[in-house]
Amino acid sequence: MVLRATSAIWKREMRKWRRNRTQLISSLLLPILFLLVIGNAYSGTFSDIPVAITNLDSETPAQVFQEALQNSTSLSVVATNISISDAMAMIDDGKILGFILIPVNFSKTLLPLPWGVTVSPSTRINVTDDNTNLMVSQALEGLTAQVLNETLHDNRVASWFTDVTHLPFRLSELSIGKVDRYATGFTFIDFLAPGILLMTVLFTSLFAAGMPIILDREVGYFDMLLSTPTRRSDIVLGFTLAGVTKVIAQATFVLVIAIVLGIHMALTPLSLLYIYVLATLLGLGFVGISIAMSVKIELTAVQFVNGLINFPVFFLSGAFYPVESLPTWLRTVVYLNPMTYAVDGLRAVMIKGASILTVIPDVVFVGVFALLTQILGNLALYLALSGRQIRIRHRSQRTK
Amino acid sequence: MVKTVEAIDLVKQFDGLTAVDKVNMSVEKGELFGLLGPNGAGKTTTIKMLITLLKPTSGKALVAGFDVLTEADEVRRRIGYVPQESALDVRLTAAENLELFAELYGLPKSEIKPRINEVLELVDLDKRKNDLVAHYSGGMKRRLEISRGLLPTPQVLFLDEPTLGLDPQSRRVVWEFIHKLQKDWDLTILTTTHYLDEAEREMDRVAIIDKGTIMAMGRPEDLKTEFGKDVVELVIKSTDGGDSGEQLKSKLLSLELGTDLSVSDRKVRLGVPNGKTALPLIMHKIESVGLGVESISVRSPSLDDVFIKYTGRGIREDEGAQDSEDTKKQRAMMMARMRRRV
Ligand SMILES: Nc1ncnc2c1ncn2[C@@H]1O[C@H](COP(=O)(O)OP(=O)(O)OP(=O)(O)O)[C@@H](O)[C@H]1O
Ligand SMILES: [Mg+2]
Repeated sequence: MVLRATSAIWKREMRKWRRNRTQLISSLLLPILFLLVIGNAYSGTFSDIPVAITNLDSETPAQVFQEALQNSTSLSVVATNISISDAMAMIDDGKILGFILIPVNFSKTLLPLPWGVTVSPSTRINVTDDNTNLMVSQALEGLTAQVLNETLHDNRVASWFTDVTHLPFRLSELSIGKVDRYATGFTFIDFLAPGILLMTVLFTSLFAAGMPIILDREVGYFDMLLSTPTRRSDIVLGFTLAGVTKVIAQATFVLVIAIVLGIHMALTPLSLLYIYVLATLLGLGFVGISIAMSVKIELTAVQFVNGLINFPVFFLSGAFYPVESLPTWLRTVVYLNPMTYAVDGLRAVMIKGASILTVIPDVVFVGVFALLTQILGNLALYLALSGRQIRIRHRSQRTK
Repeated sequence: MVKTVEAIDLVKQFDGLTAVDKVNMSVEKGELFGLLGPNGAGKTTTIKMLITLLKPTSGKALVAGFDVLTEADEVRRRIGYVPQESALDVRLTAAENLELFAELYGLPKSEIKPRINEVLELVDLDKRKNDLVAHYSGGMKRRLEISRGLLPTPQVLFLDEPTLGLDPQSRRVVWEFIHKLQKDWDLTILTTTHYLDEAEREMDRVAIIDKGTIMAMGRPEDLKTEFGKDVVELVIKSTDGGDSGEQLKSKLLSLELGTDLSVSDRKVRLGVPNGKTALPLIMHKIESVGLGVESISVRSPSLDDVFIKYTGRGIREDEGAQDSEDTKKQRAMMMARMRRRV
């Protein structure tokens, strides 16, 4: 058989990989942790944000508003009717993240003249929040507005209005109708799952392909391989295939976990095929990079260099942070990042169940990336091997 | 005589450092030939050029009649190699380690299993073939590596420091296997060592190599006879210690006590045709220039004396300094191995 050496090397890598329990288990745990921790942590909804409320208005709307705030599961009202200076002190101490002040004439702004008063800064609801906690701060503002909107629709407010003015309550409102395009019940974890799957592909391919080569090089194992009458290209191919196999196995594992966790997914044979094609192509791409680096890099530097690649590739891909939240100069990086296309394509097919045709450009981009880095990686290793320039460390002692 | 290995003016330079400098040597068919030299002498570099792992900077080498540069594949088909550093997959069993290389050497599928059993039997590891190599002792690992070098039924076996790091008993066992191979398989073996006793005891011929240059070559007995008949060692009394080493040496040289005189601290070593008759004369001459002799002894020459003659220092002097170096390296290797396990 032509590729005997290739399959022998592949087999060796698989055996080593299977028997390295610690590494295997931790590489399986990482995606689970990511899904569970990040997927749930940034789910976009909040609960029990500690706040204080001071209500200076005794009229019904203010009371209804306060009540609604207190009933909201997103908030946890830890103090009421405290002075502004006390509230500020509590924010400083970290006891509360926000302070909601309902001014004296708040309710009256709802009434037409001559019963009411005109809206002015002194009659507005005032939310002071700990804006160093950016996400919570934004959420509080949104929440208060939402609760206020609910208050205005409360029957008690309408009857209070009629009681005072003897006029029918007509709330002029501009509301936006929101329609979910896709099946309802999407959570952040669903959004995140494709990214986590590809993150696993990224991490695995960078680590699992080049690492064995570096180790073999540093302990002199490569000399043994090269002293045999084997075609150099067969050896290279063996390492590449082993790397890709590990990637596919890992991707499968994450997919199974995602299904077990009940993550929204379109699971048709075609979409599965597509998931594997994309994951494999992306894996091949980073396996190529990993192998190219393995020719030169030191064992001690691997983790560091891998981190340098992992970090921007993952975070600048839209896998986790939306592309729209990035400044323009960073977006350029995002649009050059193959991970972006893989995430985009995978998300479309996995979650939206988009037709394969619509994501062909994604596949093409990732495919070209894979092709280029494979050429680079295999060439680098092949040249190093056949030029025999692979660094042979001088060591004079064997271990027992 | 058939020359199985031949090096002609072989040179290897690493960015300005000449590791191997115009080495000329030949190993005959069926011979057990040893390169003897201290750490950094260029032994491993020479071997790596012969087995096509390093390109010579200049010069030429033939192995089994093929040029290592232009016919590398032919060379690789005819050699077995046991590297200086242990290169085994500890997470694989002995049989699995060999299986990979049986494939890489291109053995016919049907022959792989019997062949693995055969070579393992040869080094007495057949009963442990399904154990993980991680559970092997240092000596067993070395034997396993030797058996791996035998898988392709080589014409030449290259053994780089086959006994380094082993205890004396394991060293003996390993050499027994090597001798058995040489005899039973009519194998040509090129090995390296920095143990003088091994070179003296085990090898048919040795080449003394230092700083990349071959200083002497021949059968151990011949090299020793060449050195002179007897070795006289004496220690000069320290009461006359005003003299520096250099002064002492030139003083002694002027006395024409014998050949190959070397001085280290107050220890003097030289060669004489007949020790017993030379002793009184030497004592007399030394005392006549006002120096005292603390002790004096006569013995037959060893390879160590030959080594000092050609290199100006003892191989053991290097070794003393090397011990801690070796320990350091050993630790580094252990670390690498531990990381490998993770
Ligand atoms: N790949 C390399 N790059 C640069 N220098 C090297 C390389 N390999 C060996 N050397 C240097 O060449 C010289 C000879 O090294 P070599 O390994 O051949 O010595 P050796 O006789 O085998 O020593 P030891 O007994 O320690 O194994 C040393 O100075 C070493 O540092
Ligand atoms: Mg060496």
